Amino acid sequence: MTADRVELRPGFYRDSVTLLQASEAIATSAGVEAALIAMATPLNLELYERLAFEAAAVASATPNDLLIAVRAEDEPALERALALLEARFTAQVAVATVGFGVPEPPHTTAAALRRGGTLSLISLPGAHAFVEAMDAVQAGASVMLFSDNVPVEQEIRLKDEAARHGVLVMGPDCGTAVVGGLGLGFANVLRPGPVGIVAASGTGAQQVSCLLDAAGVGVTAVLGTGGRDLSAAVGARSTLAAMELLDKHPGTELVVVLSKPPDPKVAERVLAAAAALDTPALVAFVGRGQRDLTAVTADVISALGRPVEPPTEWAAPYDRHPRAGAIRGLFSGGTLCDEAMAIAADTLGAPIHSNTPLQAEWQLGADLRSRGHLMIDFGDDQLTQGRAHPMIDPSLRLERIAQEAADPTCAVLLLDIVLGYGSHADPATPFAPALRRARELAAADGRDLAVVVALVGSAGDPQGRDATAQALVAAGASVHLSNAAAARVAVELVGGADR
Amino acid sequence: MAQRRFFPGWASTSIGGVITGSVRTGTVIADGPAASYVALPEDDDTPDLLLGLLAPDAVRLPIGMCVLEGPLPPRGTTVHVGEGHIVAGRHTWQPVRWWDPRPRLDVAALFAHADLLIDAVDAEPAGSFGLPLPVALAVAGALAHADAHPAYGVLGLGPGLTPTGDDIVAGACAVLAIAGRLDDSLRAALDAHAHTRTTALSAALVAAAGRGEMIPQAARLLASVAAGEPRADVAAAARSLFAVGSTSGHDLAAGLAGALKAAS
Amino acid sequence: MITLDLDEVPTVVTAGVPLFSDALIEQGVRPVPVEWAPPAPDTATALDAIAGDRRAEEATAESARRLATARPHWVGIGSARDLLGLGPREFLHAGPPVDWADAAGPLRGALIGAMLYEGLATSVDEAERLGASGAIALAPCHSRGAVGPMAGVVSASMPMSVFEDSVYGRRAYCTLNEGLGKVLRFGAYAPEVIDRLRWMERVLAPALAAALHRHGPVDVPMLIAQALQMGDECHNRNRAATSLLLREITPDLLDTAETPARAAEVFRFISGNDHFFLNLSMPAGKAAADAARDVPGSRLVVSMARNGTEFGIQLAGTGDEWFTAPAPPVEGLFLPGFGPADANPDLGDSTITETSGIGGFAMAAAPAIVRFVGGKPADALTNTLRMYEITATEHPLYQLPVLDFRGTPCGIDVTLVVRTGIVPVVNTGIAGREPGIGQVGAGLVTPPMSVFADAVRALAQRVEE
Repeated sequence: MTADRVELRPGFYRDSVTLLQASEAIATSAGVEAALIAMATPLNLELYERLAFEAAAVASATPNDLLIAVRAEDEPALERALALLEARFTAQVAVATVGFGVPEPPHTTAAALRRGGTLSLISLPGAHAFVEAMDAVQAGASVMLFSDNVPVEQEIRLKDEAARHGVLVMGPDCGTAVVGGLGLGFANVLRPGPVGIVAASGTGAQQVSCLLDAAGVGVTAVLGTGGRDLSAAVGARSTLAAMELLDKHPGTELVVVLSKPPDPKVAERVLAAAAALDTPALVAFVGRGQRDLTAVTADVISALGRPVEPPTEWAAPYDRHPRAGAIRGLFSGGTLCDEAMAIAADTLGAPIHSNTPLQAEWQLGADLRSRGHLMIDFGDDQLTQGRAHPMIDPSLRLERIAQEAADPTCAVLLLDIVLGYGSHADPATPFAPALRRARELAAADGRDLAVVVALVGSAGDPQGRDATAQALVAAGASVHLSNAAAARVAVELVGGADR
Repeated sequence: MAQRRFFPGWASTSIGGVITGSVRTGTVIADGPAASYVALPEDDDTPDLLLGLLAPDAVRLPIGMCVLEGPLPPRGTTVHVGEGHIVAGRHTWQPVRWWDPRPRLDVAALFAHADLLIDAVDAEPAGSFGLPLPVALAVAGALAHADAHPAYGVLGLGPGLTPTGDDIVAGACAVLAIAGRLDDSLRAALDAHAHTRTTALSAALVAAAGRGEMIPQAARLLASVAAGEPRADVAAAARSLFAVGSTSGHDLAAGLAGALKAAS
Repeated sequence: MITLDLDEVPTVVTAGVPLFSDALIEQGVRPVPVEWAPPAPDTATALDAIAGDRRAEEATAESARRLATARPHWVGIGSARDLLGLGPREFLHAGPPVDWADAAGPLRGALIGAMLYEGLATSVDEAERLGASGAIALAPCHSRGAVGPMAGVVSASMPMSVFEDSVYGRRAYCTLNEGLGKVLRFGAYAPEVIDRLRWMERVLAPALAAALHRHGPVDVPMLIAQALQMGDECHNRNRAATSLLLREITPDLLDTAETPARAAEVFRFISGNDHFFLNLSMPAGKAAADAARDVPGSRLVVSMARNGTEFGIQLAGTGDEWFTAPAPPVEGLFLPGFGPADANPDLGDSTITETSGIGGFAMAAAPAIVRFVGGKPADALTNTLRMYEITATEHPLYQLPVLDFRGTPCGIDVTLVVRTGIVPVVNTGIAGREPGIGQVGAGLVTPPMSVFADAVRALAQRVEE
């Protein structure tokens, strides 16, 4: 006789990663048949319904309530699961307040900075990020603002206030920075060296800095600016400030600015500023018809007077003959997806469907399926509602890999795997078996499914870059440190050679 | 692939090649509250390669890795270094970030503002130096003119793990190496001399200095001078260097100043 | 020119998903995590508007500075009639505006007592009829530059202390403390209460006025500062402060009293009342808080007050507007024979002490208070530590030895209350619900979050584009 328990906890706040982990832990505990631990958003309430829990129990639920729904094979199993859940939640909030002189934890960024912080890292929901970021700026601390969905007026106000206080705002929607050798957000272990990077894209910065690291070229800092800094409205406020900061830094010998092509007037301003710096600067607006990230990296290495070698790749243990069928690209990094799409579109001259397409008519439908080439950015907002980012949570892509394996129109699977801090601790473990199974499934159907992986990471990354590459090769993939190279190989595999 | 449990370390790029290269085995030859020192035998007759495992609050020596977590291994522990890790006894460290002990400086600017450094050193009370300041300046100045004999006279002189004489020589060599004014044969001769006349650690630091590598406080002071910062800021940077060791900081600074003065 | 040092490993403060602080820990650094929670419901938009207000940072700092650097002195005593122009049918009371119909038992009792004292009525029934008929006019003490503990009722003939702050020029007023037990401020109106009031008017006040005149202005903040280092917090614990006051003025009292017996009578009255000083720490706080008023854009709370029915606050940036909600119950320890059913909800202007950086905010100075309000001594420390999270500054004069002489948390920032969910901690006496009962206990009050949320929304309305 199964036992259900449904509970709503208003105002019980935990972030999505914590809830995801709690959900997983409860779902895998002995005797549990179903578990849902999530905020009671409409999407999650649909899930709840599908799991056939009692509708009446959530009649008054609002998205600010935590929904706990557990079904177990019997009462004891249910109680065990709930006890486990409580233990996880209380472990998160333990605050020592017994005894004399134990400090109260800070409840605001302002209070925390008073205890001696020099930089604020904010990843709160966008609706609450502005207030916290203003705390930091007014306290004289630079901010890395990972949060997105921050209104543009707030971004402008924040950056103006930052200029007044002489601090840098990296963001909103900034996922990567490296300051003083410390990785902030999704960041790789990079050797120190002469290049200072200013980037509107996190994965773009990760690709360039990892390729540089592989070439023996280090960085002084990677400063993110957020995805909207180069819009007409924001006018490159943070980009210009970061360029100035690197220019004045004695150890920086070359400033590199990376972005998608921005508003034309803003582009002019950035180029003019770059020309006026004392330090040599290289501005790369990466996109369709422009030099790709690997080419930009080569330009940087040449500018430093060092020899350029092609980036490392690990060939797949099978040959690279062209096959009939489509490329199916499954990306976690938006910029990496854009780069692959640009290369594919330019070379193949065929539509590359996407949820973030290069051309409006290539937009994928809600089912995200196509019979032709497609590349999906799984990090796009639509696909990350109420779930963790694909760089952390591989499940959506793993599902899709299995689907594509069964699809006879799929000839090449192309994906990025991004290493470094913040990303999944060991992506080889879920991906290698999934890719191997995909190839086996296709082979059983008489198809030689090719798998190409862009592995963005440095030799120092905690996941073990080379060991990860080898595991993927053993599963049947060709692995490339260069995303552009991976895209070109994928294109070659469907019969398109680089013109 | 199982998740390997390791402690984070913060390593000097100077030992990057050793850490990421093929595995070598050595022993902890000295330990103390601030650091444990590992000697890795070389294939040929050259002296063992010395590598420091440094406590988080210890001075960041150019030949070291800060162990951000985990216990310093005691003397006699067997240590394996290579393939991205340092394994000492039951514990493994992996560098999670790196620093470059060789600062990138505008050499012309450094010479142009040399008096800022000289004045900061001159202002210190006589008793703060291990050897009298005039002696230190003379040794350093001689090195700037490619004369190592006064240096031979002081290498190994002084009680500490890094004797005073060595600190002066290291300071002088470091700034000369950065300025491109330390010639190879002079450097080789000094290294050879140091290896027989002083502690293994100190010899290793003199060798590092010959490559332009120095502790962060010294790099910071030189950067401050090169940037022509206001005297108060240069004095503050100097104070951080002076605070190192008992007289080491002062002696290093004397070496830097003496060589810079003579070479400019 | 950006001051970010690219060569230093930053000390990172994290707010948001643990993923990022975990990644930092893996890199061998110790980030400082913010214990973040969403703000009070329906305040996020208002908080954004206020955060974007260019005036807010400096305005708040300015009003906090004034609050913390005012130095009001006790300069004299006069009647409410002479000092405030109170007419024969005018009465002041504690807390935000309230009328007779909504007044709680202790407040009605005090008004009845005051009407009897003024001779407006000769019986309790007559007084009640007068009150109900609208024949008397009621106004908050706060609206006239005054404060009153518990019911806080002031009538024309009552003597009041005058406080003057020479730094910012404000004046504040408060009646003299009647003592413990059956007293007007707890709603008692028996003949002994009225007799005492008359004695205070005819004997106590003139004697103190003469002593004060002889002494010159008394630096009350200095006495508070000393008392805080002697185990008082000057709201619910005033014994040391009262003793220090006596040391200060007794020689002058002796020199100026009509007779030695008179001097002794006055001395005994004061020394028999551990809370005499409360009626001095309150107007000192009022004068300081009023100095912080009327700074456009300021987020500072300049009054917290209760009339027994409602709890109310005012901000420096929203003028005279009161933000109110039903007064919460006090949770604490009851005197023998009394229990929660006997208790009136929270009452009094004495929260001006918390508003000005003492009282509950200085609980770390007074761990012995837990004997009266409940809890453990460590809680007294924790309560003060929590208040640093919601205040704009630290008082330069009021220092806490146990915290290495750190200044008390001073100047409540309304946005910090709403953001953190931490409301100001208040410890206070509990009045009996029925008029005439008196004090039934003491404890801690949790001010309602809604008043701070309402105030934040009102402040947001006034943000200039």
